[in-house]
Amino acid sequence: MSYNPALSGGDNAFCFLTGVTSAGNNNATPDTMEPGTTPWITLPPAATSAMSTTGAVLLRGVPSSSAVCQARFGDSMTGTNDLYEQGNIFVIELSPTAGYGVERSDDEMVLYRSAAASIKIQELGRLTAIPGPSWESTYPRYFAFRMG
Amino acid sequence: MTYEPEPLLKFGEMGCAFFSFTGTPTASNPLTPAVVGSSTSFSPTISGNDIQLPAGEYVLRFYGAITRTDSSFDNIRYQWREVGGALLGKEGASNREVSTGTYTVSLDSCDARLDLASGGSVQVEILQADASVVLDTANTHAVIWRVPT
Repeated sequence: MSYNPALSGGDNAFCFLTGVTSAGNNNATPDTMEPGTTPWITLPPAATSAMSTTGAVLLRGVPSSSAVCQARFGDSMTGTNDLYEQGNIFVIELSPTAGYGVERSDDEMVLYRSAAASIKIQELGRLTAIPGPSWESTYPRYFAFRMG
Repeated sequence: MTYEPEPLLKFGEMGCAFFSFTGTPTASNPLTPAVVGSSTSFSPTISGNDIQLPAGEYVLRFYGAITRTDSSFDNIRYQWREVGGALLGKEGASNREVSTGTYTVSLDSCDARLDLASGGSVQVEILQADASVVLDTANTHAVIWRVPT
């Protein structure tokens, strides 16, 4: 005998994550999610915190900086990553005289966690000759796929 | 007896579809999609500029590309829209050269999530386009993932 429960009315399978937790704390972890009640993700409870998942998740997306930068970013809690790829962000020409003529590359970070995990997206390394990044909340976006 | 909890069933039924696009980018107007291929469990249809979707939970990603000469600063911005409804998710834009005061940010894709209780339609809408910008139809594409609800 095989029993498959109805698909309707259960948890969402996808989550769209946006925003940023804290620029000043080098914490680019999203602080907003859609739908707002996603039981398998908990957003960072504080400015220096990580987000957490209850089970296997595939996450991919980009942050955004309001300051000039050339940096690597990704999950700083790498101990239990099963599959992990950092991203690179490159922001040029952000100044009053340059108006909005801004180049912000959007190389993605991608990670897969096979079990409950904490994820904290941060700058992992940068070109120190320029001051950024400074994480901002208008453009970041991540897809989270619930994998089990 | 075999029992599968609901999230695993949803993951197991995930499908996706790949789309190409044509059209002349014009502000406040959609591009015209075509289905390139899709999973057997997910068969979206096209009506004019609309991608018609059955009931389900979706994530949508569109990559817009343009043809540019080395002396051109032409750019576009774009975003998903639910037909008859609001813009969805976050906007995307072509990889801009510096054109002072014109655009805000370069993000190759526009991305969104959508729940459809009884089916619906989406479009890719051009938010802003420089005059004479030409869509690179060989590289402009979208992927939509779906799980049934």
